[in-house]
Amino acid sequence: MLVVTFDPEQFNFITAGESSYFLLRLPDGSLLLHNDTCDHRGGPLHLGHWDDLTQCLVCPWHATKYSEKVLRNRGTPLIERPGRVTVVLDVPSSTQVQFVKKTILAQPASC
Amino acid sequence: MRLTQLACDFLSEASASSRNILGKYGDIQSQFFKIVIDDYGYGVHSAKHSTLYENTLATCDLISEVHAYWKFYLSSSLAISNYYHYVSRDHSKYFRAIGAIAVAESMFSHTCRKISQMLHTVFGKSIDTYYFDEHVHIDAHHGRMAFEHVVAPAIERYGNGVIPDIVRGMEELQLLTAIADEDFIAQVSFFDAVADLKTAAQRIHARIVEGSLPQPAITHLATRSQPFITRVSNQDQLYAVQSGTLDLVLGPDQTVRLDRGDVMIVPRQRLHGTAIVSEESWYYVYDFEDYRSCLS
Repeated sequence: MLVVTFDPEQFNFITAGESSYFLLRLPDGSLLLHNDTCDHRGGPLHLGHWDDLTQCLVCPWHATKYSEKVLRNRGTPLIERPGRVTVVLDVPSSTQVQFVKKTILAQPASC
Repeated sequence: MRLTQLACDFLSEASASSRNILGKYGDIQSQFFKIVIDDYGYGVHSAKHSTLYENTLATCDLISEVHAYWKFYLSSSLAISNYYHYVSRDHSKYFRAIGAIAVAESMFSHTCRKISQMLHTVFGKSIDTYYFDEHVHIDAHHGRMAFEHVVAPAIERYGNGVIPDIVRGMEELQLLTAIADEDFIAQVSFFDAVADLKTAAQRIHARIVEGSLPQPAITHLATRSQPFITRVSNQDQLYAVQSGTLDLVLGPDQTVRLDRGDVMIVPRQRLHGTAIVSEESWYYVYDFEDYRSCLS
């Protein structure tokens, strides 16, 4: 396990070894950190889009959908405080971590 | 024979499609690119579709080098592969290309399910059918992606004027596929008809020898060292071996040995070659518009 803390305004994307994660603020205002790799064929989920009709994140490659419920269940443990979030990554504690600011296309427009 | 025909396209899979993803042509091009991503295995060589097909060939003891079986490609199989390149290399034919690819992606999922079942029936569990099983799944997506994210947006962006070309591409691909299917069935039927074709050849050759069927022949004198090639003829042909021994080669693993005095009909448009088995062989080839009309 690896616990990291960062400013969500400054960074919204984490690479930890071979894994990547992105921050997503859901329509109810809650924040989650989710693995960036689609279960189906490994598509980059942060480049997907939010479908307002079904309230799902849609993978950019083959349109695999992730509901809010699924996203919450699969999100990494996260605590948000003003100006910082702390997350628990399921990687060895010695894993090299990089923090990046990216455009998260999957972000719901209403958030 | 079926796997060797498919090898023509599958061992260089998506090479033609890739001609459509070069340059800067907007969102439709990027949507098209997503299909090619899958074909190329997301940059993972073991997942590349051509690699999957190599594995299938290997488990059938077939050579997986590209075009190892080029001599046995039916012209109709080549025509499909050539068509994809023809409409993809020249972007004035772009809308025909996306029409053809949309239809192909939609049809292929079902086709692959049937081929996978057939291969397991013939070869049992030992054959690696993952190439086909993969396409059962992924081409269900590709068919939808091609129509919803390439064809429909193309019409929306460029107007109804592009529809005739898109439909033309769809029709051309289906026509070529139908021709290839018929051609393949005819070639396999040819394998199964060897005994009948030998019997028919004996009857016709007897008439030629006795003089009741005047027929000019082309004389061939060939040696074992000559390179092996295959050919098709637009006429029915009767092979009559005068000396030595040769193999009429009908497919990668289909040969008919003909010794001195042996004869056989090769129907028009059936792919075949002659491999000389003895040091040399001398044989006649008679051409007929329709060999059946010479039986009586």
